[in-house]
Amino acid sequence: MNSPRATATLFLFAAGIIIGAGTQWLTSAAPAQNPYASLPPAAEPQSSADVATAIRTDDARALSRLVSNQDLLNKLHSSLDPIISVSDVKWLGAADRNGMTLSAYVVRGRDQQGNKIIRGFVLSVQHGEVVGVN
Amino acid sequence: MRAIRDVLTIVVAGALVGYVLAAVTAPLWNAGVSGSGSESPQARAYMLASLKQDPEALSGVSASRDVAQRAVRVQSAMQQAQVDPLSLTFLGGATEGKLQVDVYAVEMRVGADTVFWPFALTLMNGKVVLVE
Repeated sequence: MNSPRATATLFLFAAGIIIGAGTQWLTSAAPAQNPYASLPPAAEPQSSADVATAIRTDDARALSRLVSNQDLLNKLHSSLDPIISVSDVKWLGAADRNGMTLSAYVVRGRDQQGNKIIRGFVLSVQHGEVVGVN
Repeated sequence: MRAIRDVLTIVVAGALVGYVLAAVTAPLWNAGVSGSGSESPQARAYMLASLKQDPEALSGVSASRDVAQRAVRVQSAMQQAQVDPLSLTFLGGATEGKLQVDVYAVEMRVGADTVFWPFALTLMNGKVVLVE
């Protein structure tokens, strides 16, 4: 294949890639319009950030200190199940209403069989304290 | 004639590669843009159907659609007649393979009380498989 012909082939292929990517972008479905009000984003509460750090670092002692209510710990366990090995905990966002902040997280890890799993949970924070899980 | 066919073949091959690449990498660059992941249309549809108490629409975006489960949804919708949604806020989402998590905060009036609840939806292949 001579050089001008190879260049033309590459150019046409690249143009095709751009057309394909553009088509995908234009045809991918956008979420339906939200007919309700949307609350402004809030900052991550320190208490929920500490809980997320304890989960990320696999620190059961710190977690038991930060969430003293056993019911909440059981709910947190349900929210993490079936993840047994946490690889990452990422804060997604938070919203605040009348002093109650809902702080959302996503946990990545592996289950007992080694499968990659993703789970989401929300910590309810009031007066600087975690008072609810999902 | 053959030259035109060759040109079209190359462009179409490139377009297919571009379409697939864009679809596969969409969650990555969406997460980078918004910082907390992109919202899936199916999760939004589920939340709207849930707040509008529309069991048929809920079945359309839920993984399980057997008749008993749909009956439970109809029953739940009838029992939730007093619910008046005030706000629906997308807190963020993330994707891992076929799994997607989208989290919302919902404020609603239930009777005389106003409640502020989180909803964490887990989707697999575009269908809601878990609501917490």
